[in-house]
Amino acid sequence: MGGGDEELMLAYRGGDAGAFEELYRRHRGGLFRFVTHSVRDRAVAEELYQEIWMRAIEARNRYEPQAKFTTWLYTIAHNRLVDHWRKKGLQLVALEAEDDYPANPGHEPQRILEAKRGLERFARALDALPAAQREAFLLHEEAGMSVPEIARATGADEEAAKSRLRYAIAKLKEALGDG
Amino acid sequence: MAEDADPKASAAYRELGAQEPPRALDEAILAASRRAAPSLTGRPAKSRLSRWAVPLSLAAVVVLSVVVTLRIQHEAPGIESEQTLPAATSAPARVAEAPPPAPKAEAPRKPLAQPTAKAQARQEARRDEPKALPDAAADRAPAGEAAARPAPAAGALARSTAKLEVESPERELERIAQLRAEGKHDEADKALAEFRKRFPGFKIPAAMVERVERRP
Repeated sequence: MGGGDEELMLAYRGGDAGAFEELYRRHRGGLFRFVTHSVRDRAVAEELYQEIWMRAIEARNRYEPQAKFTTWLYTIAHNRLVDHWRKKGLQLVALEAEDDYPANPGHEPQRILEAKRGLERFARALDALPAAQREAFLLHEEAGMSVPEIARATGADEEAAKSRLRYAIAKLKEALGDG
Repeated sequence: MAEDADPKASAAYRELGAQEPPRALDEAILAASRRAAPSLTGRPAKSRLSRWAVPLSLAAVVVLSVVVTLRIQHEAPGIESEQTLPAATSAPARVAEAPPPAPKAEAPRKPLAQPTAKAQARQEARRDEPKALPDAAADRAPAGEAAARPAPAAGALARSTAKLEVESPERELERIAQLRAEGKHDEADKALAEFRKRFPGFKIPAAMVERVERRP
């Protein structure tokens, strides 16, 4: 089935179940990685991943193709993750904090920098990023979002989104020994 | 976006591996999406139906009303002239449209002073008909009409017909002739003057003139 994501979502809104299957096929991997890299617990990540799609299904009648489908889908994902973090007792402001992510107590940047080069170090660096920066990076990589789109999906202003992405990339490059 | 892109970071991220959701999770989500889809498919048809429900109902009511009205008028031919009645100029036209029983009424009423068996029989037959007297007409019309028409709406229709007949010139003349025959000449004169005022263009038939006008 061809067509853009927005057309497929409109078709699904009109009752075409096949359109949703195609949309799901296109975005399942990216969204799944976005969630699993955001939440380290695999079981929790799978639960959140399913809930995000369920919310998308439930919200189908409210879908308007004013923004890209990916922006709409990842906005739902962002909101669900924020709910998750809130339940964990994490304030939104902490998402902005540089090194204050409670689920990441043992991953200080210094320790990451001291680790051997390679993917493991990169993975740890990604893991060690503040949530907001990691989210910006994942949206950029998995959903192919530009800075304005990241800003829209996360409800931040463009300057903040740009700053988060820039910091995230700088730290990851540093972990790769390219900083 | 170009200024934010970093090929090395992107490449390293890709090397982390393409994690995929478990098959069971895929199937659960797709099953939920399919469950939601049929209700969406049904919705447009339902909304189309509901969109047309009100206009269709109104159209049905209008058609039904027209059919019932035509049927009633067909069964009571005098009713259609009711609207033209208030205009005095239309009175002659109504004479032509008046139902046959009205002219016939002159014959049986004429010999009232000297009743015959035939006249009496006709009077018996007319007992249930609306009378020229307004009070009696209003009260008796429903019963008389009800016998000739289907039950629904018969009362209202009968009252309309009674009103029509009370105001018809033939009936009025008949009433005056009756007064004259009963010797109530003053009342008859007054009624005749009133009649000529109400129906200035109405030509009273010669036979009726003899019955309604005072004779020396």
